[in-house]
Amino acid sequence: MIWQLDLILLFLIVVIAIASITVRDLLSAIMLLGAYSFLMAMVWVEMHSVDVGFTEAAVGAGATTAFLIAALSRTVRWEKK
Amino acid sequence: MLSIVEQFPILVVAISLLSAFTILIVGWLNKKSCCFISIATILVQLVMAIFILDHVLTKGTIHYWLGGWKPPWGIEYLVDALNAYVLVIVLFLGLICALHSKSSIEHELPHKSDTFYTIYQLFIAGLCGVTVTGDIFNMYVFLEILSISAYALVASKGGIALRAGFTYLVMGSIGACFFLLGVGFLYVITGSLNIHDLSLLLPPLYGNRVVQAAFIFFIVGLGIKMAIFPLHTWLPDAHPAAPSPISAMLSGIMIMVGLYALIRVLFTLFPSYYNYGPILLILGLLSMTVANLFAFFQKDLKRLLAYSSIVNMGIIATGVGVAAYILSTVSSPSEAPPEEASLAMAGALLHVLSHGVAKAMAFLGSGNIHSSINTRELAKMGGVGRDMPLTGYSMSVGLLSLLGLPPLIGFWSKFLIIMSVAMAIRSVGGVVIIMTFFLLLFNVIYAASYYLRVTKVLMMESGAVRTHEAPFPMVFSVVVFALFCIIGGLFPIPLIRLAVRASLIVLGGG
Amino acid sequence: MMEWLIEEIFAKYNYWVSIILMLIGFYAMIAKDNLIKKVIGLTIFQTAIFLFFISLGDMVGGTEPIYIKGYEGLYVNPLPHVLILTAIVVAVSTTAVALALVIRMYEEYGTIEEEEIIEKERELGL
Repeated sequence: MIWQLDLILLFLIVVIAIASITVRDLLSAIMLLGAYSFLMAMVWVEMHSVDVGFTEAAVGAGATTAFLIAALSRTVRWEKK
Repeated sequence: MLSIVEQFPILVVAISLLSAFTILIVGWLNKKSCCFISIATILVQLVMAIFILDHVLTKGTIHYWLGGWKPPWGIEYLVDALNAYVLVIVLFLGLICALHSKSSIEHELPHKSDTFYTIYQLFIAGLCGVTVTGDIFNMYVFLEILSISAYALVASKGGIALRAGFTYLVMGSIGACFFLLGVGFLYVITGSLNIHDLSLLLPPLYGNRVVQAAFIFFIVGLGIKMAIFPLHTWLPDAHPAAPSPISAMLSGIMIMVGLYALIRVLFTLFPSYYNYGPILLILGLLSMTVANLFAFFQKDLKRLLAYSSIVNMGIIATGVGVAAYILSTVSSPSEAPPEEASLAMAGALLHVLSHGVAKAMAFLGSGNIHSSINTRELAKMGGVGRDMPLTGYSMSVGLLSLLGLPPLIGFWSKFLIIMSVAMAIRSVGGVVIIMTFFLLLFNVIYAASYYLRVTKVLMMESGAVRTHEAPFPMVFSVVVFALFCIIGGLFPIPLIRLAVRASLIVLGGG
Repeated sequence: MMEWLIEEIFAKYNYWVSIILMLIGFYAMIAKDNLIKKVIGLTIFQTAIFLFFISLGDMVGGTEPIYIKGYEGLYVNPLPHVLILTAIVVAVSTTAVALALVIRMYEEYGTIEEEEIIEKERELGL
């Protein structure tokens, strides 16, 4: 476990999480959530748990993002103030 | 080689899961037969649960190891008297509510009956799974299966039920995540996930901050699931908005299964860690008092019954808290528990049965009234009990049993709890016990005001639209519950003996 | 002072980041009005708990828990991985049910802001 890489990834994860709940365009928020899931998968592979890594990549960056975009296509795109 | 009855714990859960998918496939071809498959499955499960109860009472606890792997490497299903008691109550209520739903689902959820029965079978599978399992992470998995089915069932009616279901989803997920954090903390410190194994490994570690943090996480996480005072705010919106048989199951047994999980964690997983008695006692007293005050002002029948569920959950939590408090003041924890503690716990467990039956009957009866005159407000229901005599009289019996009137079963459970508190005043003493006694009496008497008001509106006033009796399956279920209340009240001794036996197992008397 | 700082904060940075992420997700679930933001907050909360669990099992100098013939060193503890696989499945099911409810609420009320939904319920007299 290389601790320098770990620190950079975790710092980026916190920044992306705060950005994801703050932006008003919901499509950008969902894209940021997809990036968050991808960085989480990288953190887990780096912590030597490869099965959780590819499951999170398939489920978080794949299925959850697809569900959220499908839900967004039937509702509004912009958050009101 | 295990006998056939020792394999029943896993079969009870597996049959329910299988039938959920069978109903989904058969529902494509023929929608009318879904209900019969569901009722037949739950009947088979109830027969198996009665065999399990009989085996446990005569021959001792059942240990079933999944796949043959012994603990602590494998998952174990451990059934003792407390598990078997709660399992029989769960399946009995599930069967009668499924019978009621045969007619009421066509009225409340038209054209959706096959998906309803699929999710209902998954709900029953989750309830049975939480009850029989002996592994703490398996309990989390079944608790989540139960909760996700409940979120979908609560929101199935559409309209105002959607926002209630969404609030319930957010709060329930937070509760389950706290439970998972508690499981994680315990695994870090001890390295095992089996409940029996943890009860041997944890006592030397009670001073450790990680164990204390895990304890708090369990109380908060399960407190959200069982709707104890500060965490109850999802319940008055979610329970009235669901269809009637689902409201009956939610109020009758789902919050009780949350309480069963809390009793397992507090008494079996953390044995002799009795400093928490005052926490549970004070939370129980607060939920009773605050919810009673709210319930008095409600104009909607189902919302009044939902607040009354919180009151009764407070009474049961008070019973359990009194037992824990009495045990914490006893000097040596290795001898048999004092009589007051086991009576308080037996009263709490008997109240699970009597409240489950009476509250389920009240919700099913309000479903009957809704299908006949299409309203839920008390002001428009005057005298409807005279036009629908079987429903009206059964609902009156149920409401009087919730009140605690003598020859009905509700009287015995409240009597046991109050008597054990009175005995504790003499033996243990202290300000807390005296305050508990007076608050219990005040709440039982105060609750009479709204139960009697509902009974009077149903039977003695007038002003409702003239109507006829509800269809046969709905009336049959309500009458079965009313007969159970009356017969259980006249011959309470076998039930009290069973509850005392279950409570002695929990408190460590053997 | 320096040893306390190193031992409590710098050596356990995984757990600190996990707690910060849990608080971010919890804030989003409670304080934001938009229902899709609440679902995003739920996802962040649950994945933060998974990060906490996985970092319990990791050890310095360990390798992946796959059996290699002739390897004499340490393997990472595989039990938390199994617990998290189950928990990921539970999380995605909860997200799916939540999104189904959001779509139905849009069809029913025409908006997905919670304050406006409460207003509309009050107008309809419920």
